[in-house]
Amino acid sequence: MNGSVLVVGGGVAGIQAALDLAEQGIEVFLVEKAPSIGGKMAYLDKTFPTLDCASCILAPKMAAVLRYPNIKLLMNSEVEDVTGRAGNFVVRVLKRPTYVDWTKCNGCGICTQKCPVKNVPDDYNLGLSNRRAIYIMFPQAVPKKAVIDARYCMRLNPPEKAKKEGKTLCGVCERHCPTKAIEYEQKSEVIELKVAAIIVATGMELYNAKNIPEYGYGVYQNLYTNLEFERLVSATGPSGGEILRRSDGKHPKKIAWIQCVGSRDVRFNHYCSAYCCMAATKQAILAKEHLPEVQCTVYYMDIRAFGKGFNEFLERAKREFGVRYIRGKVVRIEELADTKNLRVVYEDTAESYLRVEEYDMVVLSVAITPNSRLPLPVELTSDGFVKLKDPYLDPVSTTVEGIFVVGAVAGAKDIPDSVTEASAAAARAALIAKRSMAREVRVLANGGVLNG
Amino acid sequence: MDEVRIGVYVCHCGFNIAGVVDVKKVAEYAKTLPGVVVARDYVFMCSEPGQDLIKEDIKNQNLNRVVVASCSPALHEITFRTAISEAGLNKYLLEMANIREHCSWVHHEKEKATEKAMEIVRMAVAKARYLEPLEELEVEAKKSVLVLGGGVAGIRAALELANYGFDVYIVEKSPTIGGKAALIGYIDPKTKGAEVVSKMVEKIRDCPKIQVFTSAELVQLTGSAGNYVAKLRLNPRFVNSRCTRCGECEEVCPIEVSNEYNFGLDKRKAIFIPFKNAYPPYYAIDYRVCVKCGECEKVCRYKAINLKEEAKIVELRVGAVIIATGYDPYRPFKGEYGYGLSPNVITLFQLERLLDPESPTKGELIVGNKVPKSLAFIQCVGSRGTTLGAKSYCSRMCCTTAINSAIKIKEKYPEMNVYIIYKDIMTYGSDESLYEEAGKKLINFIKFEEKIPKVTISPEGLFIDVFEYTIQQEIRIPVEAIVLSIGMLPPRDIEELIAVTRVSCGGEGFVREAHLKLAPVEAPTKGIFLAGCITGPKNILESIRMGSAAAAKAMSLLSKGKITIEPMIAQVDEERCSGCGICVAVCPYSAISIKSVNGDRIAKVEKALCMGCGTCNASCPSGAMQHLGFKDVQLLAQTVAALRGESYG
Repeated sequence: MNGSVLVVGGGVAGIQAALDLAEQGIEVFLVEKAPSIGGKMAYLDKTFPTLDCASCILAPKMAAVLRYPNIKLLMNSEVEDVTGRAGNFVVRVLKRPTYVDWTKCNGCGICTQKCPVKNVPDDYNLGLSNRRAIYIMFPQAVPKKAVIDARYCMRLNPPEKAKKEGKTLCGVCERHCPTKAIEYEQKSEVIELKVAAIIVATGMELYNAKNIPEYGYGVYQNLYTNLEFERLVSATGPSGGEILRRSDGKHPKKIAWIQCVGSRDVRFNHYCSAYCCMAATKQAILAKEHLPEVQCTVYYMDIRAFGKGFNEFLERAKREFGVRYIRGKVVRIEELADTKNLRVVYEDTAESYLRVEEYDMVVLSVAITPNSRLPLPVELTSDGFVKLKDPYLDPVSTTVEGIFVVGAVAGAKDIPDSVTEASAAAARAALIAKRSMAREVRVLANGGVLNG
Repeated sequence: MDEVRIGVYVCHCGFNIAGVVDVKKVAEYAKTLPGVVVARDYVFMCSEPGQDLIKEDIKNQNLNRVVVASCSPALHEITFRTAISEAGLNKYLLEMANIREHCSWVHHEKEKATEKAMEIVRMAVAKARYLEPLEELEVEAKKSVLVLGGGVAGIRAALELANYGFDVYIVEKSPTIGGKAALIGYIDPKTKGAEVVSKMVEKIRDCPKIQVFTSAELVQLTGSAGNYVAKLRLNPRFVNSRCTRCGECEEVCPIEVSNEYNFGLDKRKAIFIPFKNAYPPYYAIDYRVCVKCGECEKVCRYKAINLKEEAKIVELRVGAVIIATGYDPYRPFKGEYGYGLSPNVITLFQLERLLDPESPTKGELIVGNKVPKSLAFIQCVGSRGTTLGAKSYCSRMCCTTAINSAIKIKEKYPEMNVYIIYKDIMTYGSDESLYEEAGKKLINFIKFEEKIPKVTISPEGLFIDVFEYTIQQEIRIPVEAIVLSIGMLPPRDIEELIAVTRVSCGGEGFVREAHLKLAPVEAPTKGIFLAGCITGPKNILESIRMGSAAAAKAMSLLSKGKITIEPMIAQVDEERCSGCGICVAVCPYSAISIKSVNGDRIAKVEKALCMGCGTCNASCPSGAMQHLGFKDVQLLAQTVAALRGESYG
């Protein structure tokens, strides 16, 4: 019966929407392109301004998703096409192969230890560490299931020579899997769903910092994005929570954060990304907690401490942790050939001088960009966010009836605002789903044909 | 009692616990405690494989009690309760030992922290031995909601709820709904506050599911989630719906007071209409200032006025309450940046009124007695700890509101010199476009830091002395008008709100949410939801979205028509009860009464009303009142384990 709702995106907003819908007894399809739900929040070590451990507050919600039998997870999947209208959308979802039968996989992880391909950049640690070709996305992944990365798997993508000779290589994971879950032949499938309403919660990505030539991201070894730094301080990160320089594996003594990288910059994105000032403040505090001797400096244009407890958090960073805030735009970064230290050239607006300071680690507070290039008929704003129909009178509706939007894909925002919108949209979508179901029940009662 | 078989599960929580506490040692120690048959440690107990460890042990080792040593039960008690119940155990046979917040997060010395963690686990195991299975209770839930506050957040919540088929009661203290958003000239470059509010109010008017009580206050709230009884006091309006807004009464009214709807820019009479699109759309008499001279009653041709009207008490039964009572603007003290000393120093809210075409000046920016040639906004007045007595927080909306208004001013008066004197410009998200636009409109931005600007009022005019941060120089700006961008305060009557609804406040004075990040529209008490600025400064859009979300949460709680109640409540041991009635007197929820059972006076607990606070338990002189889940025998075992070390039992 067509009383179900599609939630696109399994980040904290999508999870909240799915949970609220499920609680209402609505059938939910949660489509997520990664092999686990959790979204960007799952990458975070702690959250500002309470320094709550991110996975500790997110994990219960992720686990709850599994507790609802009416939430159907479509992992490793993306929406390909949407037709129809409110009450009767037809959605085609492309489900990519995981090469593992998830009904059999129990997440034991033996395959991820036995796989001989050891040099695959770990996406969850943003390439800061390696994983195997078969992997479980992260320790608290939900669902906790193994996936084969076909690009690196010797069986699925053998070297040219083996291909020519028609040889079959490896098969180690298959041999070791205690539940016989490995399925090398798995193919992509297209799943057709009929849903009454759609909630778009596809969130955001970090802006590609390589587009900013003067900072040298991707070239300089000890230069990180703020999300990479988040992994670096995390207990589940590449160094188990040790802050170590990429170049020599040593603890940094001086770290700088550079704000508005790709945000508030007419060359890249006009908007303010809203999360980065507090994220940098949090990261500076975390750095001080990990390495009490480290000196932390934040280069900023305006410190945007607008949320509940934010300004107090900023003051705490300054007073209690001695974090230094310098108002000034960083002009360029240079790497020193011998030490791989980084020279930050900046305009100190307090004195209108161009100054230079050397750091042994630099973190870029990178802008967000919305994941809004979707095969959906919704309109976008000039900044590329999903447009709201009428933010005042119809707060979470897109320009298409029956399609709602929540979280960062509708504008830069942090976790509480995303969660708030998710609950609001879930209730709206539930209403459409229930009406749609009631209508079909009536049609059936009249001897009609379901979905005819 | 069957043989006690306890499983102890020690969580690393990544490094949160394992970084300080030797978790392996704690687990090994737990194995030596009486009743423990298995003890394990794992990196994340709350993860799926962590929970599976517990479930498998319950099945394979016949566990009948589980102790999880991890974080605060506030975070994961539900997770683990659900896990053990999935394995067939009553979910209340779980005890949590908090070795994170109570131990690893507050200690640094590994050895001592480990020792403390072991003691915490020992206590939990001791209590676990005496745990009993408990059963949850279901109560009927009313599909109706009380919305406190008729601003944009409350109106949005009411509209959503009505849409879901719920009965909604809006309780508004003032004689009109609409709140402060209705008084903001422009809430974005194209949208007038009054317009948005009128559109929302129109929908309220057309909705039979929504009943609006204006000039009303909540004076008592009893009951619990699903079944609240709300007692309202309806203060007299003295004017009824026969009023045609002819205005003759207003003309004859002899009482004139400052008009709060124009933030004191002009006066109003004791009988008045708050603003053009006020709802209900008829006159009201301000009972606090009316002298009951009777002039209005005499002149009214429609018999719409009755000065004998008295306050009424109304009782409503609702399933949930949404608190959306908003904020008060910061009140600058006399002399703060010249406020109150010169008619040319006004607040941002007064400016917003002046920019509204419905204002006393018909939208003309007349400050003092003329349109100023130059005007400066001073930001962070009352916010970010800028001045003595200022709040520590950022008020979130003042930068955007000031910049938006500055742009409007420049559009209307292109020749005017406009300055914005600020600390940091908080145009977060897409509001940044306004900041960009302001730059294009040649609005001057002047930054200060620690040293606050000084306003001088002299016969030559107004001067602002400010230490300009980017040139590190003291500059003096002569201006003809100053706008103080005042921040937000918790509403004046928040103390009464707390007393009646029993919500709690954070350090900054706003109401605390159940979880700052993940439960922003829920109060810690089940059945009470929060929307808008009552939890802290928000802009209008954010308040509206919170209204929608709070409505959604209330709907979700009540839609099944039933609510499950936690069984950790008071229980009377009838054998021991002497019927003294002390518990009846101390119960803050009126959940206990004295009943006659076979001629004996015995206390009886109304389960749906009991919130499990434990007050009766503590005050019972005969030990008859027991708190399920925290029985004397359980707590004593825990205490003895703490004090006597190993030798409890």
